[in-house]
Amino acid sequence: MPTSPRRANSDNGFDRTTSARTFFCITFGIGGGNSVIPDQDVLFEALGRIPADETFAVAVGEPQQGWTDLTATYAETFLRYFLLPRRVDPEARWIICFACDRQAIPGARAVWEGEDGIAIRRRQP
Amino acid sequence: MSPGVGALVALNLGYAVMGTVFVWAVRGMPRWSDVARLCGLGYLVGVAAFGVVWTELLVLGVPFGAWQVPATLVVGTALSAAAGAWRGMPLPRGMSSSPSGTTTSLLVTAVGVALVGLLFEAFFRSARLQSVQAFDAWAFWIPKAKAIYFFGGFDEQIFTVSAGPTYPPLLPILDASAFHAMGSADVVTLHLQFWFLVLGGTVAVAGCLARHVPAWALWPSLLLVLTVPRFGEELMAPQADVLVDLLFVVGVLLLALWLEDGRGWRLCPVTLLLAGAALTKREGLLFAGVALVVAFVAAWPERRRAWPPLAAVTALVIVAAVPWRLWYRSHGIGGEAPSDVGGSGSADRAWDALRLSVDVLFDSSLWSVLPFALVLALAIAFAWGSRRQAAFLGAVTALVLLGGAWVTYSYTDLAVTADEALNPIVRYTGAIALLVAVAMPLLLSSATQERSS
Amino acid sequence: MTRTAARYAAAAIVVVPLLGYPLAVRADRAHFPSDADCVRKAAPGETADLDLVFGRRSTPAEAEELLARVRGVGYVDAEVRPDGCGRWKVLYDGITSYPQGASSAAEARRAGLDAWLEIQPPG
Repeated sequence: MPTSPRRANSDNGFDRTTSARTFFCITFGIGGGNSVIPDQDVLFEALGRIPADETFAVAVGEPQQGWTDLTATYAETFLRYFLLPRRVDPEARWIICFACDRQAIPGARAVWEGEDGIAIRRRQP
Repeated sequence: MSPGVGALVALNLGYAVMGTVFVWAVRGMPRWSDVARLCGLGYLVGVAAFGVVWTELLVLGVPFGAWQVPATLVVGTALSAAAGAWRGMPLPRGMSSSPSGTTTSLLVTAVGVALVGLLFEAFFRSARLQSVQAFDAWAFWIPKAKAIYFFGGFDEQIFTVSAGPTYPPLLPILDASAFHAMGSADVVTLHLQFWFLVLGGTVAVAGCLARHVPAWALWPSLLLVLTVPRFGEELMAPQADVLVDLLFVVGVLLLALWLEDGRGWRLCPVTLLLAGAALTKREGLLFAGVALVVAFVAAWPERRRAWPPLAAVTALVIVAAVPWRLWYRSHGIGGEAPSDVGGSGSADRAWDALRLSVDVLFDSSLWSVLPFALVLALAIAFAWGSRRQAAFLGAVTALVLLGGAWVTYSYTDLAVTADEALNPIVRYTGAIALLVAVAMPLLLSSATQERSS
Repeated sequence: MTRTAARYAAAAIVVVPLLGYPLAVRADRAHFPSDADCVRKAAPGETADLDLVFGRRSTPAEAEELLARVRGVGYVDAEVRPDGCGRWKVLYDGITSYPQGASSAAEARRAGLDAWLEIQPPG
């Protein structure tokens, strides 16, 4: 941890207080999720891409090499907590895919792909 | 100070003001020193009252939003103030009536306050940057809090699908209030809410005991409890275990003092604290039942005077606890009761469950020397002090211990193990550990007073 | 010890450590983390690997909007990356030296963009 803060460019248009709090919510809110979600980037991407008033589904396939023992069982539980107020809905447009069967969600294209079979897919309207 | 921390300070000050005005209304506080001494009790009472009231309101479908939080605190304070004025309670005047206690007692108190204060400063630094690690926290406690915050009530999806659907909602309500105060679902700064709860509980215990026990008995006991290994890990975790223990233990303390001096005002905060415990965790109802049953038995010699108000307390706690139970049953959730209430289970499992409870209690890697100290204090009080106090506190402790064994025995899906992933007995035993903070000073000082008289 | 002296002693016993501890911690310069920790602006003459950064946004969608503007000006190889602190930054990583980067930043500013040089994050 740096011993002195470095100031961001104040011209970039951010509310410093809000963005600082967002940082804590995201990075420290992950907490125990590090034991469940193998690729932390999917959490940042899902927070940024899925609008707060939309729903999402979680599709889990066969466990992959980088997963933990908890991933397949608890991924949806953790995402339900982390992504609120976005609700879980099996018919949602957004699908957070953990090595999921793409044939089972025809028409959904990847909007982000990470490691270990994790991706965010979106059904076309 | 960041805005989030400032908002939490204001919110918790609101709880303290509302609850302290309530205590003033039922007891009176002639001096500002009484206000300072009892503000911790007032804080816990305010927290419990807020949580109980909003549990019932949410069951009725009243929406919970940002402005409802300060409105509740203002209305609650005003009602308490009106009640106090109607009862003719005078406002506090002056600091204290006359110097009390010896110089040694004053200095011991100062050292105790300094050490406890240092501990809480260290706790603050730890809580300020904690992440959400505990499974129960992210599996259901915080999702329920977020649901109340974002959706304004007991969201059916979150409250029925999440793990622990029968767990009462008082803590998620408090968390949601903290989110509203902070203006966001800041699950990091939320840990400071738990810092306030523990601080308030500590001040409550110290304040209630200060007039009844010597400083040498009070402060070492408090420090011993606050520094056990288990609490160092779990005190600020965003779960309900510590809160239910605090509400229960301070309720037991007030009952113990009421049994000694018969001052009826204590039963008013007892009602709120035990109702709050019953709506914080499922075992809170068990704890409240144990405390009240033992109080009934202990009050046998003066039952004509004591039983009617105790019965009223019991009835009010039950009335407070019922609506939540009706809510989740009406939403198709069952299963709060154990699979085997005690009829047909095996004797082997019963014995194993009891042994597990005792082993966990006397595990020094969790609770240090607390249980040994408690046993010693009970023995000293039985031999040379107040046998009634010893019997009351001993019976409460024993029944809570047996209650833990019964939970393990009767919920047949629980493994008979101290592994917290498989059995909550370690967290459950925290109630007994916290009980030592109130029991030991009372028991030791009773022995000292008896001997010196 | 007189009662008054005892009161002063008691006050000192309480106040000195309770104030001294946080003051000692502050003197230690313990830093509360912030998202500014992921912003490492390059000083003149910096020799580490550099990025030309055009801004940070809270969501990928907002960052994509900025990226479109940046590419429209001519930085066709600009891209969006997470900045490691919960935001997304639009950057061009083809900077070979501080003087070259400073010149590119000045050119970008003349074209109406915000631009500055940052030290590339490790990894």
